Amino acid sequence: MTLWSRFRSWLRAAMGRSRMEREMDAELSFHIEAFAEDLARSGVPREEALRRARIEFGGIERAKEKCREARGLSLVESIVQDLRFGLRMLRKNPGFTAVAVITLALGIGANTAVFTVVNGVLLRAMPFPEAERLFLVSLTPGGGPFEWQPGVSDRDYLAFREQDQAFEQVACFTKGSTANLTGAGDPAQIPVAYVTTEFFSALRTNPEIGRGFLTGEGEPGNDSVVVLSNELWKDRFAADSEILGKTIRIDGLSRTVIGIMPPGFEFPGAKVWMPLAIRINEHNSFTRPVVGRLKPGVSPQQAQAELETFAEHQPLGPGESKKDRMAQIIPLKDLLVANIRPSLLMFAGAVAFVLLIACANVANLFLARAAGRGQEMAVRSTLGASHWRLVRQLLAESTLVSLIGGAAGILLAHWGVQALTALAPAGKVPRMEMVRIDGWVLAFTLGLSVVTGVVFGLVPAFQATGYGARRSLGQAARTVIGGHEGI
Amino acid sequence: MDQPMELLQGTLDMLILKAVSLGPLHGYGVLLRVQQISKDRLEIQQGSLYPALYRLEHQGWITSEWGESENKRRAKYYRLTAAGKRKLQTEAEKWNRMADVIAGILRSTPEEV
Repeated sequence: MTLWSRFRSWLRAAMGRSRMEREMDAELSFHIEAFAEDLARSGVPREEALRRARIEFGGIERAKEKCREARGLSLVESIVQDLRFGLRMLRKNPGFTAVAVITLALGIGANTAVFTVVNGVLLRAMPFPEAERLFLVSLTPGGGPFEWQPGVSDRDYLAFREQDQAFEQVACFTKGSTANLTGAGDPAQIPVAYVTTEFFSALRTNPEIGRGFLTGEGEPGNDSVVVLSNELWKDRFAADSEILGKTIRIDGLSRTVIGIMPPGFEFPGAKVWMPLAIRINEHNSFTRPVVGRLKPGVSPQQAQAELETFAEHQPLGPGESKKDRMAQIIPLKDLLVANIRPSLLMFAGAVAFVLLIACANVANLFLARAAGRGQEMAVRSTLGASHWRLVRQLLAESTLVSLIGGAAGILLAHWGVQALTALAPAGKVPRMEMVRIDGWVLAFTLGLSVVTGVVFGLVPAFQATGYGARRSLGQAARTVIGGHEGI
Repeated sequence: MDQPMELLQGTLDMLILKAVSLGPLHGYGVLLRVQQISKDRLEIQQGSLYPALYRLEHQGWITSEWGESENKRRAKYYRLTAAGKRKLQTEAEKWNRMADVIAGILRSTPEEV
């Protein structure tokens, strides 16, 4: 009941704001007139009665303000008022506003650009269903000073695939190979991947058109099939809807197109996928990355334990020692981002400091201006504005500046991201294709702008309302020449 | 006539509830009725009356509607709600208990302690 009436009064107030205001005016002037009439009846002249009634009533504006507060909507309303007033103040000082906005736009823009990259590379989910259950299986001498790639030797892979209980499927693939595509426009070198036939179902991503590889399709004689990426299909084959069953030539071999992947799928950085059969070769032993999908309810720790037991019991090859088989279960994403994470985070830290410096500069600007506004604050507080209200007013101004700065920052970030993408050494930064300004980035920028506005606004606001006001009323007639407050 | 006393902190709300419990009143009427019942011994700051009315309405103890005043003018009349009635009752009981306790303390003599 109470809650409902509270809500209703809030709603009514928010909807019919000017009606409330009119009614309040009518109610108060009825009071004063009724009071004056009573006075007039006792013999006071009409003019004098009205004057006395007004004096007896006390500060009408102050009472109205209190009424608005009592109604409980005043927060929304006075914030709108604050923002409107803030805009007016900013328009009055275009030079000041421009400097503050540009400074903040640079700071916020740099942070937004870097966050966009961090978001794309480190935070955004991989484009596979239930990607958190995808892990790399590795049995290699780990670590070392060289760029280390997790992988499993062919012999171990075959044995593990037989024994393993923790994974639904384990698939082996190659990474970083290229091949020549001929017969479709100009010859081109394109990134390709050889994958075992479980690959697509382990990732739970099936071709959008056509089919994936069938069991046994990796065997010699059956392996002249190929799956294309959506992008390659569009760029090179003009999105030919009858491409299935046609043959294309890759490294001089004819292969039949059996499927087109959905847009955006290019794991592990390939445009073409060809089937791979793992066989034990007497003369060579390949070590390739292996990805597995954990069964539901199996934890990575269980899989790790299983892999360790497997490594214990697997017979050693010639010249091998136990140390050469470090068992590791690694989240798939780590393969992609392991090398880049520390440098990206350091980068993010560096631009955060740039923003802090921008904040300090703008705060100084605001302080300098606050020194000149002491009088205004003093007058307003004498007229009945509470201390908190004045602080809020100044915070609204600073937040407004930082929001405008944030909007300009997004624009800067748009170019900044393009520059960063162009600068990134080719192939060194993974998942670059995931980098773009999305809802998360916009939310980040909005949050950052608001926090920035409060951070650089707080000190000047308290300075101007507390200490400034106490000094300034006395010197209302004089001009304040220059502030020396600073942080 | 005694000099009018200023209201004790926090008692204005209770007095307003009591005043409108006797029948719908506009703001000025509340003022007059309290003065009349108290035989002019209480002084209400007029400026603080309306914030209190708005607050009580917001809390749902009273509701308002526009009507016509004795001198044929539009005025906003306040009326007690059911919740306001209960509120007034508990507030009055609390006040009476408090007054008893305080009075008891003030009456105490050295022998009693």
